[in-house]
Amino acid sequence: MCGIAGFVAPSLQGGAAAPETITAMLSHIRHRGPDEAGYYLDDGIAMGMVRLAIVDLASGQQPMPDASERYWICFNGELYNHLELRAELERLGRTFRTHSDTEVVLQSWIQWGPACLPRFNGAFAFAIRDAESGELFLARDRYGKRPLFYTDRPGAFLFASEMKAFRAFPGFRFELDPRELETIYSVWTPLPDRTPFRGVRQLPMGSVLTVRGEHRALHTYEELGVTAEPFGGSEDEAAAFVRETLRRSVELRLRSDVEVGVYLSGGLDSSIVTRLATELSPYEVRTFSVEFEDRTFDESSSQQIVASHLGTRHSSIAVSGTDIAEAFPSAVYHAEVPAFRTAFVPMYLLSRHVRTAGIKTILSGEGADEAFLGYSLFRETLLRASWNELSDEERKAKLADLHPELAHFGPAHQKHMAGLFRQFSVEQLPGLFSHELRYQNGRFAARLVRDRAEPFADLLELVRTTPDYAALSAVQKAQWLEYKTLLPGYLLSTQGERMGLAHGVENRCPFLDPAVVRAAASVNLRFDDGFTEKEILKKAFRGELPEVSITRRKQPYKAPGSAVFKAQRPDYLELLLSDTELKQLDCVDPVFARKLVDKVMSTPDAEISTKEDQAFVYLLSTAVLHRQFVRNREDVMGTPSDAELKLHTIVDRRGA
Amino acid sequence: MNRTEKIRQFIEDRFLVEFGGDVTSGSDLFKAGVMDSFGYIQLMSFLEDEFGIAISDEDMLTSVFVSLDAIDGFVAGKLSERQGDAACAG
Repeated sequence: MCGIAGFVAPSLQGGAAAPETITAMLSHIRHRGPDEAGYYLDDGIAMGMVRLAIVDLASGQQPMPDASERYWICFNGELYNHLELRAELERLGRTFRTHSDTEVVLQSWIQWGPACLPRFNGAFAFAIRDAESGELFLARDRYGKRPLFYTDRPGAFLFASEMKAFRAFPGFRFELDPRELETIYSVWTPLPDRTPFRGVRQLPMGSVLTVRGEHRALHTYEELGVTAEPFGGSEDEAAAFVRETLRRSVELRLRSDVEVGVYLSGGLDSSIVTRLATELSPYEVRTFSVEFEDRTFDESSSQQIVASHLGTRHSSIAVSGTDIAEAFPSAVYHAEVPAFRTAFVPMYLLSRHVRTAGIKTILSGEGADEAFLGYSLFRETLLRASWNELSDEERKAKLADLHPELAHFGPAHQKHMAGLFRQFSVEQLPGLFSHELRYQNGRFAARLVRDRAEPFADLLELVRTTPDYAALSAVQKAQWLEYKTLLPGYLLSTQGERMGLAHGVENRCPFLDPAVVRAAASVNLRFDDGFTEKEILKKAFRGELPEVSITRRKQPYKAPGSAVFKAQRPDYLELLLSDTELKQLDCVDPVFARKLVDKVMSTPDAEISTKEDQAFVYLLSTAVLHRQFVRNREDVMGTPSDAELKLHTIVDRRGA
Repeated sequence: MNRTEKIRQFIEDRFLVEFGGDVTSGSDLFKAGVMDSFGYIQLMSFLEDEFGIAISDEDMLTSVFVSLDAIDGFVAGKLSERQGDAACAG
């Protein structure tokens, strides 16, 4: 895995400015690719990459041209079906000079143009330059596993795997965008094409952008699919079908020229991935976990049971409140987006441990809850959608089962909760029914923004203009929203890819294979009513996993939040405690922010509600980001990467 | 402190809001981003404990506890109902 960056800027044509700028941009993301680096220059354009060599270690250098040197590619990611595509392209008469998947992507593009994109099964973001037409193409995988940001300013179009690369471009300045902050605070993530910074965009998942002179064209090459033909066979056959589809997905993701590890949380999804990896990997499988000193958050006993049952070589790191407070600024610097939880920080520490253990690639369970309806959000949606057809007894029984771990869902409050659910049994935000209760809580954090508008306006517009969205069921809409917001905007990025690549570790998600997502859609709610979590998935692996993996209820992965900062009082907490510092955040409402911070600092931890804790972590991460990106202060950027920029490939076509 | 003030203060402390600015006693506290599900449950428990009233299943189904005025009005109704009961009993 790797990082890419580049620009189209006719003003940076001759001399040293272009090579210096692209080198500095790459240097800002060198942690993503410590093995080697390279760039390509032509009149008014530069693009480069830092490489983490995983497939074809010897000859996969980039930027890579085709034989005619008309097309040049910078590719970040992995193409899992590159062997099949290579065979097909060879049958069509295309010849290859390397064994890398990068060359398969390039040859596919030359053969099929953008129509190659739906054929790709992978995690990728890439830039292709056509030196003859002068066009630049940027594309991103269908689930948004790999990042790609861009900003379009007068006379300069910039792109990069991480926004921090833009810091190196002459005259570029970051500025927080209050409208986007309001969305992030209320929805939990930026929308698929947004970022917290003004004028900086993401290429949305499943899309391709063409840049030609002043012309820009953004095209969706694949819409997200959450529907499928219902599975025709029996329940046993469905379970076998699910198992086989997952087995194939893990097999594809074990194709690499280096050893692969697994992130083992102790829950069902990562246990399944571990089980299949032990079945399929030629190496002894290594598993890695986070343990918490705070027992409320710790899952180490389940992790050990699964690791010992499956015979993996297991190692874990113990994470304390001190560790979280110490690593928070570094983790935020890599995340580049305000976060509502601190749970990404331990993942930053874990990837460092994995890298030290000599592993570059890990598999993880992300995507299982979205595909197989694992979250309680889906059960809550089913319950509220059917609320007015249920008897009082049915309502109470289902409510009691929704969150047995939360006291306010317990018997003492059941009638109150029923009253609340009744209020949320009819859609108020068109298309967002499934998330209305969650978003209600999000409105609290949105109060952090000084000049507020309707926080859901842009999301409402997105679902309104999405083809076929209105025809989805309430649960499918819930899935769609998860696939477009929390999954790519936090789980795969802030808590996933960005934390892994901070230390040069790439992640692969077997549950996010298009075949697995389709298989899940074809069996979901066919053989059960959805109220037993991931029933078909459990059936598919019963007997292969320890009983605890099957019977244990899903435990959301969390880490201690505001309590950590209160106890540790790190220096950067001053960004919130001092009125002078707080005022620097000009898009934040100082009155509400002060009330919130004072309450959190003066109230016993147990009395701080989840929404207050989330709003506090949002505010602190925003303040840290502001200092790092807007005020450009190196003092809170955390530990600089010890990776070096190893420039191997330099191609200069300027004036040719 | 009278009834309205007690309820107002509970909401102000619990939800970090001050009535009189953007949020008024007639504001829908859900729409204003003041109330959330956990806070709603806390508020209901507070009303029951503080004023010694019982919110029945039927109350939960027929009353809409979204603004300070509505909540205050509901509690006033409950209290006068109780006084009425007491008067009859007396």
